[in-house]
Amino acid sequence: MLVSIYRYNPEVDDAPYMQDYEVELPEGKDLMVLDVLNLLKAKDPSISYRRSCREGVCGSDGMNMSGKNGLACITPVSEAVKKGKLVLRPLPGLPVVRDLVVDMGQFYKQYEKIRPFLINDAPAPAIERLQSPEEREKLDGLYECILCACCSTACPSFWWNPDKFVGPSGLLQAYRFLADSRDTATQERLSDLDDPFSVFRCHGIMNCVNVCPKGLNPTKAIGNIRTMLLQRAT
Amino acid sequence: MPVTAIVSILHRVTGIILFVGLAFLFYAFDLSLESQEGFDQVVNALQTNFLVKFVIWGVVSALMYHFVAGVKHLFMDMGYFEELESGRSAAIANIVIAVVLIVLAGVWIW
Amino acid sequence: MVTQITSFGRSGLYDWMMQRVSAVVLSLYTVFIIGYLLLNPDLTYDQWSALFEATWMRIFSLMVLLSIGMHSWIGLWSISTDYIKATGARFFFQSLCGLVMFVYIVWGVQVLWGL
Repeated sequence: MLVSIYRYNPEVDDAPYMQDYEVELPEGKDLMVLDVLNLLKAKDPSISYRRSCREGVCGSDGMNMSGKNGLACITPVSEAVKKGKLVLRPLPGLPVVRDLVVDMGQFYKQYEKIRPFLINDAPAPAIERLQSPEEREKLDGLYECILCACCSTACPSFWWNPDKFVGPSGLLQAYRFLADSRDTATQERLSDLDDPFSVFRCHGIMNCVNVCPKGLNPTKAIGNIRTMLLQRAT
Repeated sequence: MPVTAIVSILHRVTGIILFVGLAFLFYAFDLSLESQEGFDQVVNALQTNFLVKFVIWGVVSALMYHFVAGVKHLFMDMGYFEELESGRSAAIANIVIAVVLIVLAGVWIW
Repeated sequence: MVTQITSFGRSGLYDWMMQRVSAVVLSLYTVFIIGYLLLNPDLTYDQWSALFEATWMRIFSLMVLLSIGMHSWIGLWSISTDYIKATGARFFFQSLCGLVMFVYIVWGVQVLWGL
């Protein structure tokens, strides 16, 4: 199988280029894209990429596989190959550090902005802050995000304004804390988001939902934030 | 590109076309209300002049698309079509309805 | 978190709401005008000018003119802040759009009131 990989080493290369590799796949077995990368790395140790848990939990190996963002470790080659070729590129829209490794700084900055921690000024109870099963249920589909950045780097609004638009991942987490019954900073959180960029740059393109390797739905979360803003203001 | 993304970028493109195309609509509107002669001129151009027909059809097509995509947006604001499957179906429906309306507009104009 | 002040209502929610409200006005007008033209295939000048002489139609049309201004400003403003990164060029584009919208509104008022 032909694998085409985005190569760029800023210390040596003037410009990024695509390098083609031929790889022998074992018969009768559908490897994951990460396995293919590991095979290639054995042949050409200069190929750089991030990976850690190799089972879709750590979120390190987000990359663009034949045009679609996803985690290389849980994407079968059969799914990622287009026209007999596997094209691997770094996540779009973020600065490339080297080959498939991107600088996630801007992405984390947006995450930091939404204050991704529980805010509660009441003195902590002796045991724990209780939540009813119904209240807890509201966090399902929100807390599972692994911050792999597949969604935000698939979002045109984030490409154009990565410094102003929080992006699908950050907004999913923003809603995760807005929806938490134990959090008392709801009003402040909402006020922080009510500008023309942070939330409202979302135009429902749904690329985020399309690529999320955990099957989460930032579009819906963003819609819920808007509804909360609307309820508060009218 | 996912179909939802295509629908979205076309919404933006048709919006820009409309903003420019409005000049033609305003001109026709102005002329048609100015006098009997102006009105006849507009009606005549719309019935005989191919270029005028084509421009009007173009603007009306952009309007039809923008309208349908806008309605889809309003539905999404109310919480519908926000899941992967429903979103895709709505995007496809958006394109189909818009194409039908555009063809009908063409039939009407010609 | 972003304190941008040249958007329409200076708040994301307000812009978003105005975009929707104006959209509803514009779509009702579109449906009305198309319906009217379809129902009156042999439209005469007298009929047509009588329609726009009616006060309710002038109110409706003026609402539409203002909605066009709002709706296109919000849309084009966000387009300009997406694609045009150089401040000078963006400001120029926004000014141009603002001017065109103003011309549309004045032009429309002039037609409606036959000045």
